[in-house]
Amino acid sequence: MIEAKNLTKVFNVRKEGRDIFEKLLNREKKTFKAVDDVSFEIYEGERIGLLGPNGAGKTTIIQMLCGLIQPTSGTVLIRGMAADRQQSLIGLMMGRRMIYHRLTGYNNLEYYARLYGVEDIDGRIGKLCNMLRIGGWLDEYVEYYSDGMKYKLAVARALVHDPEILILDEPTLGLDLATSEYLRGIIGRLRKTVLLTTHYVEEAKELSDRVVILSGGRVRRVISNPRRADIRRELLNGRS
Amino acid sequence: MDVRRVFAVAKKDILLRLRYRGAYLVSAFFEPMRTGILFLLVYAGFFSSGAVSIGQVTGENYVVFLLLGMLLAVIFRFGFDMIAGAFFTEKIYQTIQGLLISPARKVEIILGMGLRGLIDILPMMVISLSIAYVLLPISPASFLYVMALMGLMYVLVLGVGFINAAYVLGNESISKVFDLVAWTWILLSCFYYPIESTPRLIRPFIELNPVYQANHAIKAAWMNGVLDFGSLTYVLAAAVLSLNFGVFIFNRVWKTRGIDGY
Repeated sequence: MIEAKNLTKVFNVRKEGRDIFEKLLNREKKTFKAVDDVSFEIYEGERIGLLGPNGAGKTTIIQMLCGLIQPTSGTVLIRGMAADRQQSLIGLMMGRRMIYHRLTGYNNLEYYARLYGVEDIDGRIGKLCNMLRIGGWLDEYVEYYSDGMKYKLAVARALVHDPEILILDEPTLGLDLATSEYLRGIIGRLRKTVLLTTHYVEEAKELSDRVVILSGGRVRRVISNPRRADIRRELLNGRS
Repeated sequence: MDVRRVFAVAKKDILLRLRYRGAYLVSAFFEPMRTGILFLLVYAGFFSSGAVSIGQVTGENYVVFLLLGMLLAVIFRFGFDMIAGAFFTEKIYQTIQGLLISPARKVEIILGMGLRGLIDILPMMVISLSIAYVLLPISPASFLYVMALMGLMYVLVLGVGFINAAYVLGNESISKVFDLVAWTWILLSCFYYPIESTPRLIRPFIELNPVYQANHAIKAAWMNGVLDFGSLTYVLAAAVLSLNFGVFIFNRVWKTRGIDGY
């Protein structure tokens, strides 16, 4: 369903000085390879976990899959077509991003539902609110939500158009145990193709059929039917 | 084009601005009048001191001339700055990605934001046109002609403003150059002064400027009852070109630069 071939992403970064004159006068540039020749496939209905230390390239890969940034080289195909032509198949959640704090929860979901051409908007929002238990706060501004509520709303936003592919970038980062487990339970019950990034070994084990371990922008190892100990060992090896 | 998406973008932007209703009302009613009132004082002093005319502007029609000029200047500024301003805010809030990876077409985004701006401009538009009508009534045909030209001018400027929005996301240094572009464009549009008061050297550039053509044709229709369909066609062609060019450049900049600086 998703085919990433030889993905490489190089960022050009200007070398910044430490004081004002250095900043103004410095023209020196450097390049930074965030993702280096990464290839993988995700089959229909499969759940893939992307794991790796900070800076391993997880979010950059997700952004390339969604068409938010273009790869320096390589291609992303979704059902055989270029990724930026298949964006409506994807539901993307990147933490609390893409949620308007100055709108109510309802207005957030309604806005995205209209952008994606959802027919029964109130019905769909009602269903998601029941599933994620956010109905009681729907008419409040998001700025008053707790972090857990914001994450739930972000998941609802990603699901509002009932996408075939769900991409989740650290969906439970910083949440308390109960909220994390609740969200994992919901994600685990969804019948969708799922790609998620996480730092939590338990989450990766619970929600993934296969785990892709990244290190320094490269694929270090792919583990099918992952066990907790295998993931942990690979992550710790990758750090050293 | 899906009209529902256009309305969705407009509604979201209006709701965001209504978070602080007081600021919204002040910006919608008073901000647009700031520059116009200064020119009104200058012209009033000029004609009360015995001057007869500057080009087509006389002691009898200068209020209508300025009201129309003020309204067109506001339409210009909103069209030029609005999308870039909204995109900058959404870049910092990290919400812009949601819009840009949605199936909404770029034209729908432009028109949606344009619709929101139109609602902001509406109070000013109703007040200006009502006073102008009381001072110098026009025929329904002329009124429709004026409205069509205003709409086309708005779309024309929105198209260019969309290019600015791409650079707001991808490179704010280039985006700042657009402030200079807007300033020069306003200078060459003669909203508050007749072309006769400008140096002869720059008049050919003013004549080529489709915003000036719209401005001139609107004032000629309102003040002299002349409907110039040549100008209307010129502005229409420029608006269609600008919209398509704006989308084309936006897509190129978005693909090569993406979002930078947050």
